Amino acid sequence: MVGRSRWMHWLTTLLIVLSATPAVAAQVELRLSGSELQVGQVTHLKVLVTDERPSNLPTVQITAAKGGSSSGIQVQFAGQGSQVRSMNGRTSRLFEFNYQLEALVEGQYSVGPAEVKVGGQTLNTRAVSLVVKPRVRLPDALLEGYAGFDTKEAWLGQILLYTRGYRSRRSVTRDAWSGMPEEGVRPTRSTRPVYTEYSLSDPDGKIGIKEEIHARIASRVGRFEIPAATARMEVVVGVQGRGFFSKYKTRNEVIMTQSQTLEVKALPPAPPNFTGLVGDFVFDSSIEDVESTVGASIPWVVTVTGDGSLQGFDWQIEKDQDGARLYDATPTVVEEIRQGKYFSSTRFEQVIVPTRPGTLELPEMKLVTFSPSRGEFVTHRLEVPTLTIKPGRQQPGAFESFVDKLEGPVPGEVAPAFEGVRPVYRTGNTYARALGGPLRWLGVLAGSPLILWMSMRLISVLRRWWRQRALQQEQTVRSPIERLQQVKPNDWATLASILQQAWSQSTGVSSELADRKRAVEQELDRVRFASAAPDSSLRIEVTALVKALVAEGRAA
Amino acid sequence: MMRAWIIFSWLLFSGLAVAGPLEEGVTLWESGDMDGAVEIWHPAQEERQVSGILHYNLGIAMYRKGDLASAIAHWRQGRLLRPRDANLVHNLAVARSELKDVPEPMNTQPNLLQIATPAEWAGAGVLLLSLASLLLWLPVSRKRLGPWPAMAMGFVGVLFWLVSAYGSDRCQNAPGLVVVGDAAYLRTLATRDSEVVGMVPPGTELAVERIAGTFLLVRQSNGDRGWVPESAGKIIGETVN
Repeated sequence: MVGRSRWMHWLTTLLIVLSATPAVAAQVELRLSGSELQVGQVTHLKVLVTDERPSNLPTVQITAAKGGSSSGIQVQFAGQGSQVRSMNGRTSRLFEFNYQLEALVEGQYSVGPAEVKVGGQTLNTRAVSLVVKPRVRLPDALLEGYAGFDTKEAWLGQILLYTRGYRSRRSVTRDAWSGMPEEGVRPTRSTRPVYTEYSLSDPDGKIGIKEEIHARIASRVGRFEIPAATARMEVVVGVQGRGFFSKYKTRNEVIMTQSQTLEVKALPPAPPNFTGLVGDFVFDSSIEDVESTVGASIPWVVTVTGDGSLQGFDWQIEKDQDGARLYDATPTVVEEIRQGKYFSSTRFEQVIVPTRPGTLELPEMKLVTFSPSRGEFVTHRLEVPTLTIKPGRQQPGAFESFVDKLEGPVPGEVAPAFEGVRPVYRTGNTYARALGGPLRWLGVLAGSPLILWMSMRLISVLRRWWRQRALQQEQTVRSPIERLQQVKPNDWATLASILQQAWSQSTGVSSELADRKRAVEQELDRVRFASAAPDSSLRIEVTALVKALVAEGRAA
Repeated sequence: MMRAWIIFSWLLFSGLAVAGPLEEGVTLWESGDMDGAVEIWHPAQEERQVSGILHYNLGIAMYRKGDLASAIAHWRQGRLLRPRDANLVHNLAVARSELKDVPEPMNTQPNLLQIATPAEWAGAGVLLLSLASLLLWLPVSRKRLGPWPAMAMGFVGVLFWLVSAYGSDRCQNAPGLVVVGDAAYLRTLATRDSEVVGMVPPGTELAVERIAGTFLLVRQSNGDRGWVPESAGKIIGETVN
């Protein structure tokens, strides 16, 4: 009974926790490794679904641009996985679907959207572009770098993307690039650079690609020489050692990209109402309800998306309109690099509060931006539909004042309150035992068998290594006959050493040979240490004796 | 086995003495005799090294008497003995917030000693080292598991042992000092008649860099250094091992 009630308690707690967890809508995202392929190369595509398991396998749509065939890209499902991740105290589940994309025909393609069915709903991702170029055979030891802005001509205030990276068939353990170009451009305030690392499967071998994209704003008019970027690479050339202690043998290589020219042009004379935005933008306006009552709130959302910087842009609108008042909230700005493209977006959430019944017509909004692709100022018109405002309903009501009913603090001495600190402990130990020292000694004792075992292992490994080394040395010792062939005519010390070596390697030597050896040794000692003139036959005698000893040794 | 574990735990985490003075003091405390409780707890403190609980209670008594500096000293000492006690952390924060015109406290308690005391680190190290030694020397376990799990366990045990030794060394050789009573004068030399380079108000928490006789070379959070007599405050952590 007790056990059952405990289970019920846990179950109830679990249900409470689950019901308290806010429902989070599933999100779906498409990620493609790289935006450029050669015919025959294979890249990876991921479709990530957050929080809910999809009921079907995501389908990825491939569209060829300019009338090409979508069969120029072959998509193959390569497996799926899921993981749980926790961020800022929120746990979410990520379902990952992997695909391989093989480029078969050159052209420009649009990859995506991927369609996923989650919880009865169909969700779509955005599409990304992929360029397939003709096949060019790349060298086996490929290691090349690239760096540069995405355009050679820009307008003042335009966002430029500076990409630098390398492609390599060899493993690179470290890379360090020279500084970023600073002439004529400045960093954006909020856009973080994007770092990507992936590999492409190529018929001639895998190619590793690592690149980084930085956003910059053209800040000065003029023609600027963008210096070549230099990268120092640590390239793996082999492996040193074996097993656990092996490590890569590396070599430093320096690669250099090509320099570039960047021309920043001044904007033409700006018309009135120029917002200061430089980029290709799309303005969108939406009103939730075209019929409302006086005093009610009508949400009005204006979104701006584009490829230019939105920093500092504010939605300037007259708050007091004829028949209404406008209230706005702080806009949220998103500026980031997505799939190699700059993306900016802001959302202005305003509220229209009608002040009188009738028809409410807000004036048409005109916003002027500069479009770098067209090279001219563009006027965007935001039309707000006509709103029908009804009078509010009258209802009975009464005001009540609480001013006289409020009670102030009681005057007089207030006893000191000690809620600040927590109460005393009622039970526990009075004294602390100094156990640290004895326990550390106990640790030495407890660890000594471990140390002993490890020492024994180490000794045994060392002994084995020593034996192997000795064996190797033994194998590399030359025979006395070989040494005789290389000894100099008057090198009596070496001759004595060769004789000694032959003697030590031979067994069962006859007494006659032993006598001969003794006599020759004496003669050698006389020559070496007593400065006696050597007998002309001494060398011949040593040679004959060594050969005899070797022959006897072999026979034995 | 169970009995051995209980005895080991008792040795590790509890004082050997019967908790007499603490409970006697609490009885007086609850009857409203705060001074009586302090009279019992204080002598106990001078006899032997007292527990973190007694330091905690003494800190509350000092706080209620209005002696914030002594309260902080007791709670700092208590934190070294009971590093995971949230009440100590809370009370310390309350007392620090009530002190005015006092430099930022110097926290001399190493981060790892905010997780466990040196004795607890040593205890965990002993357990792991014993287990590792056992696994290596028992042929059955070595055959089934191989040497690596035992070696990894031994490695972690050695790390714990080193943390314990490091923590004990830091407590004894680089303790803290809380100025209590009157303000203390920082002097250029370890003598009472040397030049005064600054003054630290009561409640200031300093780091002790060196001990020379009855003088301590201390450092403030703003980097100022100077010598103060040992009697200027309470040393934190010197007795923790």
